[in-house]
Amino acid sequence: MAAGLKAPLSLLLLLFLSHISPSVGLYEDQIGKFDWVQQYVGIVTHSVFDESTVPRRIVVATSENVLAALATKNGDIVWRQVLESGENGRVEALVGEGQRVTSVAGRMVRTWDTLTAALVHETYLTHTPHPGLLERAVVVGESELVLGEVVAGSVVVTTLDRVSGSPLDHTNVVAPWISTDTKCGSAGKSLVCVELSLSLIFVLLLTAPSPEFVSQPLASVGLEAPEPGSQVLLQNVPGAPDHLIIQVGPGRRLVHLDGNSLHLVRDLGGSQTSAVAGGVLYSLTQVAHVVTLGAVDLETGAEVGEQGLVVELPTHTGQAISLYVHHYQTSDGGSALRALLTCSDHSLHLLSSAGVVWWREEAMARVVSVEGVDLPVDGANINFQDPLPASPDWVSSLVHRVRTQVSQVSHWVSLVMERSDSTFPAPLHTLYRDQLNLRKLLVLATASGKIMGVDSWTGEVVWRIYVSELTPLEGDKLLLYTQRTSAHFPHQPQCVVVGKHRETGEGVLVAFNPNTGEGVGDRGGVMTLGYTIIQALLLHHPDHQYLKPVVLVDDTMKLHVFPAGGESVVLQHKDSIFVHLARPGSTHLTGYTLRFSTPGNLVLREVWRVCVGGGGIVTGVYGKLAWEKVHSPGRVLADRSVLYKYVNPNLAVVTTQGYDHLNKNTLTLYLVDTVSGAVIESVNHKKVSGPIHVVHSENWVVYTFFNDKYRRFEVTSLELFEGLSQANATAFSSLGGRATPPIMERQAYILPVGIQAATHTTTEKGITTKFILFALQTGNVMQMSKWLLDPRRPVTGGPREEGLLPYIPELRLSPHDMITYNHTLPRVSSIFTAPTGLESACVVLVYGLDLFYTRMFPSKMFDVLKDDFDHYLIGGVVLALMAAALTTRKLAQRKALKQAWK
Amino acid sequence: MANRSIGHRRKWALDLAGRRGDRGGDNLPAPPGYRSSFSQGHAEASRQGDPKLVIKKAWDTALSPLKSVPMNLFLMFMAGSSISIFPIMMVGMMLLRPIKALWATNATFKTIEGNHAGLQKLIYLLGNLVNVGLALYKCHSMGILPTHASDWLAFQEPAIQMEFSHGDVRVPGGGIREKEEEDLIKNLQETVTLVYKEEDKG
Repeated sequence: MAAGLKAPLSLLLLLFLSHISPSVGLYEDQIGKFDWVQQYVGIVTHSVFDESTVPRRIVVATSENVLAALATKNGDIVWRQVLESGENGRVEALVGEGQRVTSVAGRMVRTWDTLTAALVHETYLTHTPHPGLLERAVVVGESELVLGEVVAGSVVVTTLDRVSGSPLDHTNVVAPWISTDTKCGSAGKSLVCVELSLSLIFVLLLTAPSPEFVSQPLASVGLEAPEPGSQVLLQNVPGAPDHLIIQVGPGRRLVHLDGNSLHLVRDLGGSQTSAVAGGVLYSLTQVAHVVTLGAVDLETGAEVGEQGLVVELPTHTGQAISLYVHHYQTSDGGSALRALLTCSDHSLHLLSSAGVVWWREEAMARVVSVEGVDLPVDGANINFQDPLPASPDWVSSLVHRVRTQVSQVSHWVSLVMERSDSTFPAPLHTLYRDQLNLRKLLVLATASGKIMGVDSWTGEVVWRIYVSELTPLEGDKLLLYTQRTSAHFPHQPQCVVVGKHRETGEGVLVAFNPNTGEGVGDRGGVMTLGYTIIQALLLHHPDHQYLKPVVLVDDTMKLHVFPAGGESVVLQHKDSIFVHLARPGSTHLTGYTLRFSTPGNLVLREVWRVCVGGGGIVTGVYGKLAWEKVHSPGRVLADRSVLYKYVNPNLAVVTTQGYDHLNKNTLTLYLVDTVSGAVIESVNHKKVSGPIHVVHSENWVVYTFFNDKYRRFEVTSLELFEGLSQANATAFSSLGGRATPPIMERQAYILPVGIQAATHTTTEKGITTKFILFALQTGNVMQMSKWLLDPRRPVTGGPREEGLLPYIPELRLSPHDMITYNHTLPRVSSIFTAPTGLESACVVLVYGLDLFYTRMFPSKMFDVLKDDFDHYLIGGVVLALMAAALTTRKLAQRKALKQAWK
Repeated sequence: MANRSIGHRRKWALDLAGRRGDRGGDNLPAPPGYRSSFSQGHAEASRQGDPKLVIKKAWDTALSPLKSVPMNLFLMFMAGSSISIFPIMMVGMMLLRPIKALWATNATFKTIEGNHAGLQKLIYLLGNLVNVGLALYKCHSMGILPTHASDWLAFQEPAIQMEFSHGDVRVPGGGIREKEEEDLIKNLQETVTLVYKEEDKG
């Protein structure tokens, strides 16, 4: 009976839900109007030219564990298969066999159809990888697969059946000289190891019935006894599997493997990378952006000059890393050549005798951090942004105002006059802000050291900066900060990227103008800092040129300021600036003050230390956005009283993960005031595991994790309130002391899918309802109103707050709420949101392997008239009414006069 | 005075020599058959004729706001507390009418003379104020008076931030000093506890 009643009730509720939930969706004709998607593959590690299918394509395997087919004609992705992430999906061998291609990745051997991208055959290798694996060599034979696993002290050779994946043979070759410093590489059917301390090359034929290492001195291939500390590099030669390039220090030799022995073929000194096609060896040398492919006949050693290439690469391209060359028959019977070139900036180029056929900006596949920059305003509007005189009295500000208004009007008039002359739109290259500031310049800092400015309307790259020495800090981080926005004309906006040096590991800072992509200062804005960076922070306070200084903390806890003149700003505000740092893996969070800084000597002095251990280690510190605005200081309850929010701008969420006494995974969240070091609240979850995604904004925290006990994904929502009265409405001080601790409300919900990334929408004034964006593991990005995750949703009865739904633990995923509609975004690493000039609008960039941009209207464009709003009708009605009012007034007056005369 | 003017107008004579521009009312003779004093005489006659009636009439005026209170109460009850166009209009009228009447108090009592005038005025004022009060009470019970803190929430300025905190998870690695620092602090803490223990013993 009860169940029978429940069903219609829940159905009703569902109906109610579906009716009121702010679903947006998209009409078919709106696809691509406000959004764009760009697909990438990553850095190419293996490639196979496929001539059997039309259109011709190149099958590539990449460092992002992606197998893809690129059209030879234009470089478009014909198909793409995203393999497992991590080591399990790293492609170690890619073999083309006619219309099929076989990949070996982790424990999977897969055969794909190059035409349809269909998985033809898949074998799971019944072989567990050896612990302490240093290197793995894979030999793909007709019917068997040989794995050579290099571990310290020995090499384990396993032969597996290619069809069933079962092991056939197993040999352990003892090699006591193998250490972690030994370089090993596979070439053809052999494993080649170079041990510098012995000056020997060891070769192991993996396919031999009883494999045995054969040693050979380095000098036998013409390599001198190396200096200590020189680098060894083993490079495969695409197209010639039984050849290998051994590079020791500056010496670079091409060797040929013949069973167990190897002999020198050619000295390749000076070249960067080589490939073989049709018995011809192509060696690449690069001077600036000009690439020369020298061709040498492998058999005779004679130069084949006519087959070489000289090509100029686009600017902002790095050094060539790998090369694949392919010969093909042209329609007139001749032979031509294609070369696939990967450069250190992760770009992929297809070269032919005519030059660069196409190139792909694969650096975009590894975007590390994003910043949205306002475009400069156009023409006369610039005057409007002029800073006012230093001490504006009302007369001068009035004069300023009138003058700017007049100039705006005159500019508009001239614009109108011009428009009547020519109806051509302005060229695309001149990027100017649109009326509602919906168009942004997205600054993307990528792991390759390439920084790019992307026009948010079209997704086109406007400018590029390639800093070859820049590489992300540990933890795959590049710190990107906007020091000055476009709002301070005539000062140009400025951004900085902080990373580390590729070789020395010391800090590298790149300062540039985000509108033009020009470096600020010497050496194109690149500064090599002489110290190791542990953190870089952007201050809240600008200097007199509206530039916010960046404070860099080095490993001796000394502070450096960029630009150096920003030190005065730091000293001026030193009493109110606090710094907190936590080392991942440690159990404490430390707070520092700058109070004891003196000119020329900025120091961090520890003021508090919170031990947040409890059996776990710190895995993340999540603060709030520095510029975040909270519009409403409280919430109105059903009885019209106000529940004031606890909006502490210095609050940070510290997550710790570890094991409890039962060895179960635990997750603890601490809400720490980072000025006073006070732990405001803590929440503990038992039997949960990561990945944990935390969204922290205003007075609430939303985080997701996997519940081990119930085997489901959960999202928990916390919200902090001060209570029904406010201690101090005008100022917030963490040190002020508070009579009562804040009240925490919490509720948990069940998510049907896992989460790859999560963030919240941001708008200019913070009036619009916040939405939470979840990048689902299915590849969609879902929007969910914060209102659905409200921890005050009444569980049973209770006082009904205005507009709050009764608590239902299951969250519904509606297809309408997918902002990516039918796109699937694999491997989303993060989501970036930025406010626009329109309060209801927010721009979103989802990045990871792909880039997806769209704009969102969380509160359904409440500040914009609808598209179908009839301006003419409304205006006409108003005018007609005014005219009618005037005429009737006249008539009434007349009538009254007549009446008076009667 | 009245008799004289009547007598003057009874003369059947038209002064056609009057200049066009001269429109002064006093100079123009009244049209034939017009008796300006007719109505005036009437009012004067009644006023002078029955002072009791005048007082009664005045008290009627003074008490009329108070008399409408029960009617207003009934109307308020009928209007209900839902916020829609008709109840709002009714409440609005209820509120506006006594306020208008208050403004026009002097005009209403201009014609009323007598020794009760002060008291009548006071009562009239009180009655209207009672009506205003009733209307305000109705507004309050309907919840359209901004009397709660929540009504002024939108105008509250965001709090000024007094301290600024910066920080994050630090970049791992490169922090050899951190280890030393930790050891140092550990040593320090140990010494401190030792000192305390010694003090306790002492």
